[in-house]
Amino acid sequence: MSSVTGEAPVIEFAGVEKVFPGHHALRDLSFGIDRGELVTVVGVTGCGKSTTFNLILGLFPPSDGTVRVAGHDPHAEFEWFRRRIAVVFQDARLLPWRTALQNVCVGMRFAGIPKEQWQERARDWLSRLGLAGREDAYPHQLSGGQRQRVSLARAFAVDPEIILCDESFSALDEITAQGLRQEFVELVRTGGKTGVVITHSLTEALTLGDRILVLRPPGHLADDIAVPRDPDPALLDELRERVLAGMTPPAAADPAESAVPAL
Amino acid sequence: MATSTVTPPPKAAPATGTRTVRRRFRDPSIPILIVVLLAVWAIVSHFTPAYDVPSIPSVVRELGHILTTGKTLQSLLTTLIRVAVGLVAAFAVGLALGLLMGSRSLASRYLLPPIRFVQGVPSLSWVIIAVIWFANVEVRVWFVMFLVTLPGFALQTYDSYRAVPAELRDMARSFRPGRWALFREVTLPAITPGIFTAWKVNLGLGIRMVLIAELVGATVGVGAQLLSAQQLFDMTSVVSWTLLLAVCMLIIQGAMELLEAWALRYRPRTGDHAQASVMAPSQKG
Ligand SMILES: Nc1ncnc2c1ncn2[C@@H]1O[C@H](COP(=O)(O)OP(=O)(O)OP(=O)(O)O)[C@@H](O)[C@H]1O
Ligand SMILES: [Mg+2]
Repeated sequence: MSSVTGEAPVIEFAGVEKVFPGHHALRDLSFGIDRGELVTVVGVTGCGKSTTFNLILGLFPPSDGTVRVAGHDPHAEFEWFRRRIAVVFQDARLLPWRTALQNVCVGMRFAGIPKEQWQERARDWLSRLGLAGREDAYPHQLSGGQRQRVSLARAFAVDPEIILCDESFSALDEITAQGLRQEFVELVRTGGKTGVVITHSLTEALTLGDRILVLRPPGHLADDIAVPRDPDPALLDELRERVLAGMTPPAAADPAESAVPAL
Repeated sequence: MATSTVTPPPKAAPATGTRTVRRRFRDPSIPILIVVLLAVWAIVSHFTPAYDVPSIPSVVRELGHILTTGKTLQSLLTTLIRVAVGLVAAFAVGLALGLLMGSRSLASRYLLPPIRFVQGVPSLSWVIIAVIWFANVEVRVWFVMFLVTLPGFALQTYDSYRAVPAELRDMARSFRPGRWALFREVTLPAITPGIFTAWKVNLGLGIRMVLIAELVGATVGVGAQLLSAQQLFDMTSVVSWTLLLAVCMLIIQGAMELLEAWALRYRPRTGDHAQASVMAPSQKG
């Protein structure tokens, strides 16, 4: 793949298929993401983005092909990924019976971080994300954006090497989302982490990361676009067109489409 | 960082439990009902012979006697302990069976039908079977208590387990939790409301059934006391014991509700907040 460093990609999909009962979600999906990269994933709804994340997380195995994360199989070597990976779901997925602070601590408990560190780390992350003073609020007492920030704090508090975000900023107003995005980019870059962000916002895709993976139904890589750090407006428009073209190909004129094995 | 617009919640964290109690004390319906009941009773007992409807003073005297005499007090405690022992055993086994059925489909296929069958057997049949099978009174009562309440605990646990949101389970699994941490932080809190429901239903069932089980062979216990009262046509005693047990039941259920309010204190009070559900309504992916 597009390895800049020469090192093997930290996330690598090769010919991955995922078949659910009655639905073929991913077909021959192959891509690689390097260590330290911040990559966005776009694609029309139902094209298999979340399924791709679940495979990276090892929540289920692929039907065919291989998924490697840091050289390991995330499903077969489930435990190995402890403290190495974390995800921020689109919905915050907080435990309703735990306060904001406790929710962050629970993530660390799950990840096997020593108990003595929970409180300090959790308070630190909550205050960095603007939630100081709200530590003892239950999820139902928080706004949607605040819950999302607790969810970010929970993921970052375990200090993972790889962090995934599934449309984590899309349910928020533009100002809050912008703030959280910047926060996220900074955390990933300064922490030397690898970040993968699913988004429905083309602007987010074009400004957030180093690279855009464009998925196309049924779960296939349509394009892989490198994005310069400070692109000029003309280039941005061009890239935007390219992303859109990748997402919605004219069915007949696309060579990749005919290469899809008939299943 | 953008600040959000939600107003801070009342600083004193959820005091749902005490609040409920206070509301109940302010509610006049219970005292009014008690007064009406006593009035009707007083009037009826005035016009009927004491062996049909005993007078209030005689019942009060009898209650005083029961609560101050060692032997009768022991009967009351024995009955309550029998219920407690039976229910705790049924709860322990039911919880284990429910969790097993919830987590292993093989277990649910083989255990669910027999448990449903046990649930369908009339309680009185268990009493008769217990009399034939066991000579020991304690074993008989325990057997009946256990089988009558076991299906409720098992099935309720099973249903609650299956209702644990998959989203929360996936969230937890993404961190690679140990089995115990996953159970303690996700499964157990998620099934707790169901467990409380099962306890409330089974307490009522247990207290009603324990008397029937005690009618056969027991020499100590409220059932035995009721039986001897019936043989002596001692209506005062019958009413007193019945009242006593019903009040005990109300107290236990009240305590249960307090415990429940405390355990589920994280829940939004009705009208507290729009997002009352566990998950956001829109689940993508
Ligand atoms: N557990 C499942 N069982 C059956 N089908 C599934 C399952 N999970 C996902 N799918 C199907 O697989 C396809 C891809 O789903 P996925 O959730 O990955 O889409 P997505 O790209 O994340 O979409 P969105 O942008 O709407 O979140 C969809 O058509 C979906 O219906
Ligand atoms: Mg999705």
